[in-house]
Amino acid sequence: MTEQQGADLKGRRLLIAEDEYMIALDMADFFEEAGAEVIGPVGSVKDALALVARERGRLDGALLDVTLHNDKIYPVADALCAAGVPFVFATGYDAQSIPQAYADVPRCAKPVDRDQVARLLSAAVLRS
Amino acid sequence: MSESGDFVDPAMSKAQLFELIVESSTDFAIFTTGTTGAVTSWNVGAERLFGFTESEMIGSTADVIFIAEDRQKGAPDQERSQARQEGRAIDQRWHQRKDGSRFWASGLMMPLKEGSGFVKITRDRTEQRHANDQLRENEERFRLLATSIPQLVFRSLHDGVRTWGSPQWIDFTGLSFEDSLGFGWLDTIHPDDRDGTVSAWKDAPAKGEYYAEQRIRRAKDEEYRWHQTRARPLNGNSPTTSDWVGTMTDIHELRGLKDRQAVLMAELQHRTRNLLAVVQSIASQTARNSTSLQIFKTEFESRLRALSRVQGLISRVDYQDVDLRTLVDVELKAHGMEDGKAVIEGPPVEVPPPSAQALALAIHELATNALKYGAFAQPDGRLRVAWQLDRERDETRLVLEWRETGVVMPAEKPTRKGYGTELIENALPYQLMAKTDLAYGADGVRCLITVPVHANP
Repeated sequence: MTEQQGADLKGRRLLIAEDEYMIALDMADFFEEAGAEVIGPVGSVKDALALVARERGRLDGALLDVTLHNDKIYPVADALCAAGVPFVFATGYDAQSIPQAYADVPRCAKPVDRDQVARLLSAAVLRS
Repeated sequence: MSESGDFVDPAMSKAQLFELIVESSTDFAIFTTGTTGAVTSWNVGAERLFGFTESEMIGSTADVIFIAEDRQKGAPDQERSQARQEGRAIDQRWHQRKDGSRFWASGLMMPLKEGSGFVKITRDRTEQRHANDQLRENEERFRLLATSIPQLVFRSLHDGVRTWGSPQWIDFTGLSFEDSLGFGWLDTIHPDDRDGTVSAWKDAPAKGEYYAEQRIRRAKDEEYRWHQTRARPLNGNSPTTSDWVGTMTDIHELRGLKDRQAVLMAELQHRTRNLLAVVQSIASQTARNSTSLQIFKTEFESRLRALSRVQGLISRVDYQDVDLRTLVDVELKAHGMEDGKAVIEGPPVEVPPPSAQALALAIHELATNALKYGAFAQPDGRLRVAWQLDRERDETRLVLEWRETGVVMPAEKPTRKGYGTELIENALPYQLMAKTDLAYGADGVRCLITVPVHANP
């Protein structure tokens, strides 16, 4: 598989959860340029949960900031798992700060490498 | 005497032999007395120990070797009568020499056959007594030390089998002396720390030292508190056979500090990475709105400086809230605002760091615009930044107004929405749940920002 195919996000419906607006906007721009449809972005766990519930069955993947306004994103991760939606973490924390239950979730260190996000996300989408 | 001189002459009488033995025993004072204590023989050892010569003593009373107090109490008579009745009298007491000096001695008195008097053998035990006193004193000092220092003190074998625990241990753990013996003490160690605590004893003899940290249950409140335990063999040369003495020191607060420091380090890492992510987004959003590399460079650097200024304010007070007036003042001064052109008004307000950063960047955008086209660029232009706190039922909101006046506005309103507009109209509502209203009035820009600052109790 070439990198081009591996990073194919065309037509995917992707949720962005990120509390810093400019970062969210940046990722949204990037996803849209890659041909994806952005759901959100949302800046709080509450809004993210509402969106996951509303978009049930229609989400292809998600990019989740691990901490939104001092709240951990894990309830959203659990909801996505339950719905069978693959996701990628973006985090400023070290790997050991992530609970064991989410050790297998692909992670991008902030500041994120956009191409890495695209690769991890499309690989996760293809696997699911 | 034999020719060689090595052997006692077999012809020597028993009496002679006995006399020889007595006279040779210079470490023992041996003397005999009549039934009332008059000396009948006095050996060299007695001369040496008591300081009286044989000729001085023969015929005199042997009672002079007792100290005055004992003589007054009738000790010499008691000794003789005990020897007569029981066949021997053993004593340990102070005696005195001819010169009046005292020494500690042990003595044995026995009656001579046919009731003709007594023989007494006395030995100087002063040094032994001193040694005993010293030992007792040392033990007392150890006991005092072990029972009064703030540490919990114990003695054990090389494998941790406890033989003694200090009163502090009993007080702290509530476990009795007897229940703590052997491995009974392990009951007070946090279950998660027991394996490590015991296994550290396995390595101790080889290392010549025991070291472990574990949580010990405090009886008072059932709290497990971190302790540092160190122990060493009393005899370092044979650690496996020696007794070990150890202390357990409460390091709970210290541990807490260490843990907090680790959390702070992780938090610092997190903030730094997030800040870099913000820089990354500013760069890409500035690039998106720039028509040339020169414009990008100017605007990106200007925004980076604003970010750096507000970071300076945030870290100056250890990631605490930032004073709003300082925040506004720093940003306006950075744009070369003169005092005559601008008024800053409002009550003291502390802004939490995430809000401070976003607000500072918004004010930076407004000030940059004012410097290019607005109140700072035109001679009659004036600026008023004013705020107040609105207390609603469930939360307090900061209402801040940026109002420029006396500005001649361009004929055409700006058509393209730039980075600053995006920040104020979208980022602030998104990040801070703010309500914003940016308007181009007839005589200048007006911006109203309403931000929830904290929930009311």
